[in-house]
Amino acid sequence: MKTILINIFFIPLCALGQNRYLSNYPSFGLEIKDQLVFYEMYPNDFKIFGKCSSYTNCENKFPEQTLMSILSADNHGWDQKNYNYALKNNLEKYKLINDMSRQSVFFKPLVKVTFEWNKSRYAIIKYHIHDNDKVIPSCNILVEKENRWFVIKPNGILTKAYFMFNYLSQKSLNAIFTNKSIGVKAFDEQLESIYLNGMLDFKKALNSTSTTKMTEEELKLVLDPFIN
Amino acid sequence: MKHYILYISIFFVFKLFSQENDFSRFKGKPIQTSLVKEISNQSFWIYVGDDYTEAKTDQQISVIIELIDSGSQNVVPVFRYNFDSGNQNYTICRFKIEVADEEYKFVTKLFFYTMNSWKIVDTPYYPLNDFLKVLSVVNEKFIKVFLYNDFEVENSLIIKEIIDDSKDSYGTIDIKKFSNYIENNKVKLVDYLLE
Repeated sequence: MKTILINIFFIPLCALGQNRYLSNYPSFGLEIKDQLVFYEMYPNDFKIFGKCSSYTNCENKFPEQTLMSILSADNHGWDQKNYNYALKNNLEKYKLINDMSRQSVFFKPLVKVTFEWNKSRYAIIKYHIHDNDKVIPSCNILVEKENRWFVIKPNGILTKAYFMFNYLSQKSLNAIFTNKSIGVKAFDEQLESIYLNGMLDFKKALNSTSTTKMTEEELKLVLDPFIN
Repeated sequence: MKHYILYISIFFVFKLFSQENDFSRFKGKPIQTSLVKEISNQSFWIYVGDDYTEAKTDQQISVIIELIDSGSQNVVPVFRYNFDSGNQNYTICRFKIEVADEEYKFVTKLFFYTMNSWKIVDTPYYPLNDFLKVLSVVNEKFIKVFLYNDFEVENSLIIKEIIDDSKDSYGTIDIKKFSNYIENNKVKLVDYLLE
């Protein structure tokens, strides 16, 4: 009886003692599959209109289709299916989508990069939102799950990629992925430093900063012209 | 003739429409790129005694311990590495298990969180198998050097070399390289591996 009592009191105390820990945050990572990204510069006349009548009609089988679904989704239930994180029920947004002219509001995709990491395919798309005479630069990062593409909230290195695609011009992004100079000394120097033996060091590109100052004219070339 | 023109017009309208909706054409050109993307939500915990006032309490570990079929009453958690992979929460835990009086063995297992409970992953696939492989063979001295950069530990230079060789210029350790280095340097690492 005494042993049982000791066990009852002693073991839980032991367990409490074991539960204390000190934490640290290591940085383990994985290389992207085959060290390859797939770079696409969309044709000039390619536009995405919100012309799906329902989610099943859009399907989201391609990242571009998910963008089309986002522009078409006129209710929260449908819109939520385009994202892999919880969305707020923004009634005002869905009313706008319902009321907008399907021809005067569209997305103009500019560049896309896809790659496979940890058995999942990712896509980063830079595009412009055209709303009548207004143009707003934008970017989405998507992941493919069970044959459908979802917009994700970027974290870690993908957050940097998000800002890079949002802020740089189509010309600059094209220069980075095709290793072609754009005639801006400060930018071209950075470009030279992010390639090693013909291979793009993507992380270096994401962390690269210029020490040489750019003129207003040069900045207009490097940055997205519609960034405020 | 009229019919002929109509057919051509219909053909072009149809071609334009199908091309506009054919997103499979945007496959992109392959570009050789190096990119080590970090694992999401990583944290590494080392279990300590009650004398560490800054230590936190792990509410889940007692539930995880119950999943180990050790046959021993004395199972002590040593470390825990938590991370996300494919939208799933995983944890690799090591336990020190008393198998006889003053005789211990170490067991390192991978668990995943599903339906509000932890379950053992019996046959992990890539890349989880690489994580488990590395963390199953290294000893506490290795973890101390690796995690807390404690290079004061005797002969720790070899670990520093492994870390330096397997991390990119921004400090992210490529788990595949790391695992290969350990596998290929077992003789040199004898002081840092479990017996």
